[in-house]
Amino acid sequence: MIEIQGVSKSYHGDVKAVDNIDLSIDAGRIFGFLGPNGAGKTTTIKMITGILSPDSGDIVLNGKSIIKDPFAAKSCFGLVPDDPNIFPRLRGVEYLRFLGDVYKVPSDIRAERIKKLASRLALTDALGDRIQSYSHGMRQKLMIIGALIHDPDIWILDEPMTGLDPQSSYELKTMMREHADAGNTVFFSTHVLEVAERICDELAIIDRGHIRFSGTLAEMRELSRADDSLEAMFLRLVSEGSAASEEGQA
Amino acid sequence: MRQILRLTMVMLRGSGFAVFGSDAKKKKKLGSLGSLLLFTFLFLYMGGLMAASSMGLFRMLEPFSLTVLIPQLYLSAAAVMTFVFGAVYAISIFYYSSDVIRLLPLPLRSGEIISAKLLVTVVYIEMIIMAFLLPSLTVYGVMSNAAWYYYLLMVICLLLLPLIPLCAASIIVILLMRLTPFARNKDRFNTISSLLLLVGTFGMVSFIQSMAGRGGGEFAEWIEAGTDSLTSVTSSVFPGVAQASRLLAYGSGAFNLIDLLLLILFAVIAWLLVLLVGRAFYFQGVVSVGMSGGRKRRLNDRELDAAGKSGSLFWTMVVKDVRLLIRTPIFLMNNVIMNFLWPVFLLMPLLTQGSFTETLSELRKATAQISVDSDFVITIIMMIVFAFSAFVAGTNGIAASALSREGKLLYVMKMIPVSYNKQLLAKVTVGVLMALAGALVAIIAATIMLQPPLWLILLAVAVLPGACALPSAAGIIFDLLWPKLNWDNEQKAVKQNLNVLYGMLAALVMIAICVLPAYLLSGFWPLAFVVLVVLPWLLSAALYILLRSISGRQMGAIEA
Repeated sequence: MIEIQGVSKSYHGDVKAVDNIDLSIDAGRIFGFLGPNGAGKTTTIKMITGILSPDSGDIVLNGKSIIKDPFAAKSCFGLVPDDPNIFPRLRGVEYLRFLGDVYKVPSDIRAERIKKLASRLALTDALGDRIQSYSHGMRQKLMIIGALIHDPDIWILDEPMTGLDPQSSYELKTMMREHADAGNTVFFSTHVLEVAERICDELAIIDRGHIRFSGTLAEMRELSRADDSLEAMFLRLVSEGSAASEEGQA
Repeated sequence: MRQILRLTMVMLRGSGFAVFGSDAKKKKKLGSLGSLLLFTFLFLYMGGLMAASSMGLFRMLEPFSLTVLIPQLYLSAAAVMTFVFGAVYAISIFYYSSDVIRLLPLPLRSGEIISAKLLVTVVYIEMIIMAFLLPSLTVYGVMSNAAWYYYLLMVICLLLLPLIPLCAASIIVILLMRLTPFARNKDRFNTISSLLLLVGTFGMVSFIQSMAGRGGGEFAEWIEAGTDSLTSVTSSVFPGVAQASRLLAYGSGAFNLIDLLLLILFAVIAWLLVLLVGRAFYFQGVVSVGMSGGRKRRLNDRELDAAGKSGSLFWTMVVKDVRLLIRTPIFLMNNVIMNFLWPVFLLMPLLTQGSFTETLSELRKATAQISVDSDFVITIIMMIVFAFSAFVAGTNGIAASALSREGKLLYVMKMIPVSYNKQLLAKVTVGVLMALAGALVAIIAATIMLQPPLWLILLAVAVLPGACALPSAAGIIFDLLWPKLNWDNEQKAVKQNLNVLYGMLAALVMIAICVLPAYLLSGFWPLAFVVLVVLPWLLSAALYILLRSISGRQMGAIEA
């Protein structure tokens, strides 16, 4: 479970990237985090994972505050970052071993898990190569395996489908579903609204640092009083939000 | 032609020449001015050295009426230098600059791209050649009372002559990159070319030192023979060298117009040959550079099981950093190899002396006489070992750039459930281990050369760990306070990082703090030894406490 309580974040003191947001993501759910470019998605994910400190508010992961108890909170999740270019001069297998040691995954479990995940994402053949020789999609797959190597309760995935081939993309969506159905939490950001529409149990739309909507797709349709696609509702919500912001400024 | 010049300007700006452009933002103006001043200073410094060397050479050769050899010597050396540097620059500019892929889809003629690339390479090479030859040949012209047209010919020769070896190097590079997969590995190329340049620089320094050690008559004979053989080789390999040498040799006499025309003709032919070879082979080669994939070697079950074996978290972090240091060419050259080069630098004057074996046997005799009663000598030896090891640790910049080298990936340190103190200590350990390895190699070399008693070697080894730990502990504090994370090129993380400089200065201060009390206690070496072993650890502990107290706040404040 992820609880975001009154969190704000400004850059350089004046640009408010995230403005007093509240979100509660229950276990057993796939939660889609949507928004236009520069809306505050990545800033929020960085705060959830302890990479950035919020100016105010708190974030609690499975009952552990990322601010007050960072080590316990950081052990709960696995992160797939938006940029998969990590340690290009390590071999894939060396990167996984590094993360296995960081998360203290026992030897017997670790080897099996690497084999299983690499096989599901069709990366087994490339694990002995240096990451710099990987394509974007292969790097993305390695990031996914690295994030799941300690079998975390909470998955946090920033644009996880980018660069994945259709087979791996399907496999990842299946894995997300399986993980949520097992009572865990999947939090992911995406620009691909069709994917969000198909696999999310709940979603939130963030725009200019404010949450414009949070709830199920059915609730969103109810709110917009139309049986529109997610894309149409998303565009309407964002344009209404923009108009409201401009009015407020005026 | 205009298209080629425009393309050349764009490429030059993209490769760092933007510093000299007029559209630099106001914020960067100070930095640009600083770079310009530094560049001018280096250019003038190098030019001054070359002018002085040319003056000295002229005075030495004048009594033997051999001054006409000077342009011949310089131009032949310049041709060889252009060929070597040209090959390195050509690979870098033709193949490893990021603009190639962006240029290929544009509606440009292949000849325009190749010519612009060649022009960029020419600009870089001319900067080196001008710094070396312009002052030397000007001094030669002034001292030999050359006519006005000597200076005009000099400029023409300096502009045209480098083109010929440069084009030869470019053609070889284009063929090599098309035909050999070995050369397409960027990391491997960077490492090997940097090592070659280093060896070349060492060679040049040794040559100059051995030249300086010769007397007047012997020197004149030697330089006459050397220049003759060098010119005959370069003239046959690079057409134009003989013509340019003849044009400049008799500064005040009549020059041969045919030599001038031939030089121009050779330069034009060289350029056309690059275009011809480039059109046939360059584009296939440059496309395949970006496509060098992995070996796709499937790991067997045993290897996968080995990868799954858990290890100590601390050593895992150390090993990861060591791997990245060794596998990243810029880090390897600047942070790792330097640990092992200092002994060579220090030994260079000794090795290039003609009387090396005599000096060595004298030193051996002196070492053999050291006994446990030689308090002052033992203290001085311990102080030298300490100062050398601390200097190596301070100059390797490993700890002082440990966070900067992470760059945008610093967020991984913030995301993983490992305390910042443990992560920082692992980074310090890497710096200490590398410096220890360098210092140990120096001690082994000294042991082989000087054959000191075993107890003295053991004392020296005992001094090493503290000497290596102290500057590393100081270095990482600077990098924690002012990490340079926003870089697009690994070079900026280590070469343009002030923390490395601060780390070096701190190392010098630390050396003084530890060596001074040892010197004061040199009347009784065991006391001096204890000071040199214990004091650095006490200071390191104090720095570690400081590191612990600021690490949380500083790491938290970094918005990666």
